[in-house]
Amino acid sequence: MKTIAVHLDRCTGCKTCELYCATERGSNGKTLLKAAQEEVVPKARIRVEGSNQVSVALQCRHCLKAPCIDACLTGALARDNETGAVLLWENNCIGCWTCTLFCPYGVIYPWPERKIAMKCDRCNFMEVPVCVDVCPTKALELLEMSQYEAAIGRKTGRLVGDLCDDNQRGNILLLDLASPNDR
Amino acid sequence: METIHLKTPDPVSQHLLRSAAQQGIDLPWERYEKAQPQDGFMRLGLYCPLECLHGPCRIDPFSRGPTQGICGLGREQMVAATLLRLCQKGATQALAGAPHCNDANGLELSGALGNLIDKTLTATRQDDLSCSEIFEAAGLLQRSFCSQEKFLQKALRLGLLTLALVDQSSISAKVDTLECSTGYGVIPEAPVRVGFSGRPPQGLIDALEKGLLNGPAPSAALLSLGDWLRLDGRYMPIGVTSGEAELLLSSGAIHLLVAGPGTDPGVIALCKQMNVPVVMDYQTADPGDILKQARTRAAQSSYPDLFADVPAGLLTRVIMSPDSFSKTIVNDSVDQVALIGGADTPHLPLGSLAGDLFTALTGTNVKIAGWGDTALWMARRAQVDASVDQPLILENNQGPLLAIKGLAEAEKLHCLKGVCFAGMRDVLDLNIALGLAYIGFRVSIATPIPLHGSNVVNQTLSQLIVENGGELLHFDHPAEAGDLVSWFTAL
Repeated sequence: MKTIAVHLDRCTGCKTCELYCATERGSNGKTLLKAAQEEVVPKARIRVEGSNQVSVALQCRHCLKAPCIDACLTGALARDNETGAVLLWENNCIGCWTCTLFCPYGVIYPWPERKIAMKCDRCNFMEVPVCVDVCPTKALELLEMSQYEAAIGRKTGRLVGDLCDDNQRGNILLLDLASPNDR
Repeated sequence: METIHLKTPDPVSQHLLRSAAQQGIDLPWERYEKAQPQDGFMRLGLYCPLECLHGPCRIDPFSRGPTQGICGLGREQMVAATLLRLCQKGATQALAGAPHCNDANGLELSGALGNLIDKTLTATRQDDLSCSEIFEAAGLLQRSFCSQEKFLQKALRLGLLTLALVDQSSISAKVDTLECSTGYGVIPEAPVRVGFSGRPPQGLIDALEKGLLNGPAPSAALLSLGDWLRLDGRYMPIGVTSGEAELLLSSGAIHLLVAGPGTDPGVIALCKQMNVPVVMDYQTADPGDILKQARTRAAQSSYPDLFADVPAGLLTRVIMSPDSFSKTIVNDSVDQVALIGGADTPHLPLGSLAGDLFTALTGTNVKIAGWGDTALWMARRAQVDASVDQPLILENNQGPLLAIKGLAEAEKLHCLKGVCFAGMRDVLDLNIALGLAYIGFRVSIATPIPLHGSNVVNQTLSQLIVENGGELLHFDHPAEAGDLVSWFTAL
């Protein structure tokens, strides 16, 4: 199963993913300049949150225990057996938007113009999701779960390496969160 | 290398591209691909130009994010202000070329172009033009509450000002035409080749030419990498267009580069990568030393003969004065003229639009005149296609203005079908395009300009131009020849 990994240390909050997701998945023109002129405003299925200090691109995490699937009244939300992605079968969606309330990440959106819900399907029909393709800093990456876990492991290892010297590596590390002035 | 045909249709250039790829040299096309997608907010004009340092503010074109800047600037104003910022820079560039015009008092308008500008100002009940407009525009761009109409009107005035400044910066040509040899064919003519890019001082060029005449063997040649530089009584041979400068350098055919202001950083970096000496310090540069360095480098280097089968260099005549253009039009009994010009752009395969447009329009009995890289591409097309005549090539700095003045002199302005910018080198070209449209000509721009973030701004700009009898066509995609042929032939 593949997932879109977000490297927090690389995301600059440029919102390029938002622009091109809306263009590719929400517009008729399929180019940014055409999409920006369309009367029905194209919508992105990804959202960049955060501040100048930290930003993060949020899209459907395709949870292993997805509350939205349980919440869906008509069974329009279902897991694709092949890819493991949580997909919305638009024909079955009645636009009750219960799923938008249950999503723990807030990444399922109402789509009032079409009276259905809208969510990231990881660009299921494309080789690479458009947000991954356009990210200028490669903060978004399409990884197999095993690669994802390895990447997490590497980053955690680096963090530990940064915080303690070689003699302490492998031991339990306690972070003292109190500021020096409090001591 | 599957996409090589998208970069250039020229067979010699494709050969050089393959060679560069084999050597692992990155060229502008690779950099362009790595830069994709370019900043979407800037491309749309939704990136705040007000340099208050509180931003940068951006407006979400799809209305989910911010709809105003921090200061409250709205979407329409932001797009219009983006255009004004570009025009302000274009006018500053034009002023740099005409420092004698830097007078806060009104500019004196004269000649055919001056009359056209004057007519527009009178028709729109506007004040006389002066260089202080550039500073006024800077004022408008400082946390201003102006309406989008005011921003656009100022941008159009700066377009007019640019026309006047470029017109006044033109050195009165003492000759009607100058010879210029172009194409890859000019490269193998000498064993030592000194390349020039940007705008190096004329004194250095003259001194080098003099040094060549009196210098020892082997003989060396001075060669421009896409810029229009003058030698004594002719143009320096132009080996390639500006978009191909790095391509030529990658072949190893250039033994020393004299880089003037305006040279792309990529050109300098590639010279360093290929150990080609670069001269940038003109004050201390000694012509004798430069030629000696070039000869030494030529003796050390060997490069595969990539230019064995190239067509011979093409000798063309460049029209240097409106008078000369006027005579040509009258003598040839031309009754339809199209002006196509501009610089190479990474948005389109090099030379494809120029060549296709040239061939298609020649078939409709329109006389084509061109300037810049586009003119070189059209000349190349005519060299290999016997069914089309050579285009008229205009002096590069004046470009369309020279032709318009010539047509006015011949009282044939009505013969002008339109002016097309197949590519833009910088904002100066944008200002000229806007200025020409505002004084009543049909103008098209083949590459997108950052106006598509607001339909309202697009419509208002068109309206302001149409009211004066002009037309500005621009696209939300890199234009194809078909788009422009139908536009040219629509009248």
